[in-house]
Amino acid sequence: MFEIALVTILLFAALLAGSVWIGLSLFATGYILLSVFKPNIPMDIFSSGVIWGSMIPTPLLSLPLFILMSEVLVAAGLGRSLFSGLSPWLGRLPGGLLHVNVVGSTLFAAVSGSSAATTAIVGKVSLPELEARGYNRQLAMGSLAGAGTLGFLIPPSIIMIIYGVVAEQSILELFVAGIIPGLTLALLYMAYIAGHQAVTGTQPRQAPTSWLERLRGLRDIGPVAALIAGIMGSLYLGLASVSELAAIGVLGAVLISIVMGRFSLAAMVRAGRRAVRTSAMIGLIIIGAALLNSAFGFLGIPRAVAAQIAALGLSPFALIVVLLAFYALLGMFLDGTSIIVMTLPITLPLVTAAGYNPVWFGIFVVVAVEISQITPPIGFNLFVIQSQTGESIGTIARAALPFFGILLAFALILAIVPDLALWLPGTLQ
Amino acid sequence: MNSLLTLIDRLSRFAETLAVILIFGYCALMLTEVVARAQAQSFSFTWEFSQYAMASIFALASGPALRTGVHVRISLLSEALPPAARKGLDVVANLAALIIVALIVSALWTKASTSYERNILATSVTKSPLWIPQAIVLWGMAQLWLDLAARLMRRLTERTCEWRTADAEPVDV
Repeated sequence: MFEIALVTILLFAALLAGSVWIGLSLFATGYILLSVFKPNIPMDIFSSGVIWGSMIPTPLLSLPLFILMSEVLVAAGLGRSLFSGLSPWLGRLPGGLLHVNVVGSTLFAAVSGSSAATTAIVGKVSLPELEARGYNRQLAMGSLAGAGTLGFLIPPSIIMIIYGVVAEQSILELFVAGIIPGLTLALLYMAYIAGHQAVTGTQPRQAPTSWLERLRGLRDIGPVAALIAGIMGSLYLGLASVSELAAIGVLGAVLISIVMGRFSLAAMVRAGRRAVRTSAMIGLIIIGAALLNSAFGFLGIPRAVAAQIAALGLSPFALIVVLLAFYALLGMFLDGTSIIVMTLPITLPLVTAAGYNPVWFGIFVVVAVEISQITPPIGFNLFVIQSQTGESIGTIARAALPFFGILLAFALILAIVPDLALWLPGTLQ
Repeated sequence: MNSLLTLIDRLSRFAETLAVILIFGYCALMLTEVVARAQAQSFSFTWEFSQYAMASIFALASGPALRTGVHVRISLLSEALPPAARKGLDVVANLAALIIVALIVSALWTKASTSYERNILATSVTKSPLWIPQAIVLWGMAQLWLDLAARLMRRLTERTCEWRTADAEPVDV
């Protein structure tokens, strides 16, 4: 077993370091493992079944549609509307317009399943505006990096859909379970920003805003707020399946772009092109991981790892701490989708055997993946902010350090108080 | 070589356009199902055809995703190398990817041809011939192989590999 594990790690590391695309690296590792250690398996026939099966699971149907919904809203100019709509409401709070990063990300996260997309859309408008108004640049970048990660935790979430498919858990339940942790995390970020600005006294003075300006702000964010309320309400009340909800979300996004006067056929096609490419990128990773996980199953790797971990005699909480460190480390080199599809067949049985709820673990893993978004050298939110500011990854990572700490602390709080995630879905039943 | 690269680009863009039609198409199918169910009706084919559309989208847009630099890879090591070594590593990675995708294409050919020869039908009430969606997925992955081959040609001849301005129209945020 040690030999197989060593070959797996070396092979996968060599392919990744050689800059072979991640989905293809996963596929090649699985293919070679089976060819070498299970030579009797007819690989052409076996892999064809795995590939086809991994491309058609029903719960995955919502994924391309939620991506499309987000792209349609981006094409409708949602980023600018978020800033103009929120700034009259948030400017006078301790921390001022820096809160736009958090509240804007929270709102965009509720119509988008992607962390990098959330960071890109909010940051493209907020970073130049905050700089022009004299806000602390480090805190602006750091809060955006941290808040952007909410894209994964607040439903709809691409990562949760993938977790639900791989772990065979209800995506609806996962979505509902993510709401309170997402909002709590947003509040923690806002508390840190307010505290930082109060202590350092670096918050620029903000001119008073009239109620007329605030009402105009509501007009800007009103349509999106209505869409979010519709999605969240339907999720909670179970009015439609998650996939149907995604389709309704696309329709809502198209209607919003018409209301905002930004609808055009060309913009829709552009949104469609972006959506299918992102879907294909995730699809290739899913295909590769499906074969690798089949190889793991055939070779008995999850069982062997579970036995090794069990032999350590860790308490359930210690196991979670070890897994958090493991995911944080893995997240330094891999993206969230790859981390989940690769590790879940091994980690989920361990965690459920330790008495944790699989839905709770889904939320925990999402928080762990969020951490990976802001840890160098591979942190997608850091890359997005780098492309917007031209700063080095090191500078942005240092700016994001307090938010990294908040995320780590929040993951541990989640382990101590699992009801943060489980209470709301519990009320559904 | 220019005409060959242009031809592959056009094929790739065509596959992507079909994927765009499919994504809006299955979205419309889902919406129709929601409306129908509100009137106590349901279409037996909604979920099944949506699944085929999703698989086709994953495959058909995979080549265009490569062409526009959307597929994820780790470039940590290659970025630390001098330009000549970086090019060499990229060529090796591209060749490895060609072999891996050829394995995927071969497997999907086996799947689609077996379904066709044995007239394998979906187990659902529609009893759709499975070779049709499987052939579309096969086409998509073959397109990915072509895009990889074109990428290799571009790399070896010092052309720009990724078409990052495919959506050149400014996105208003």
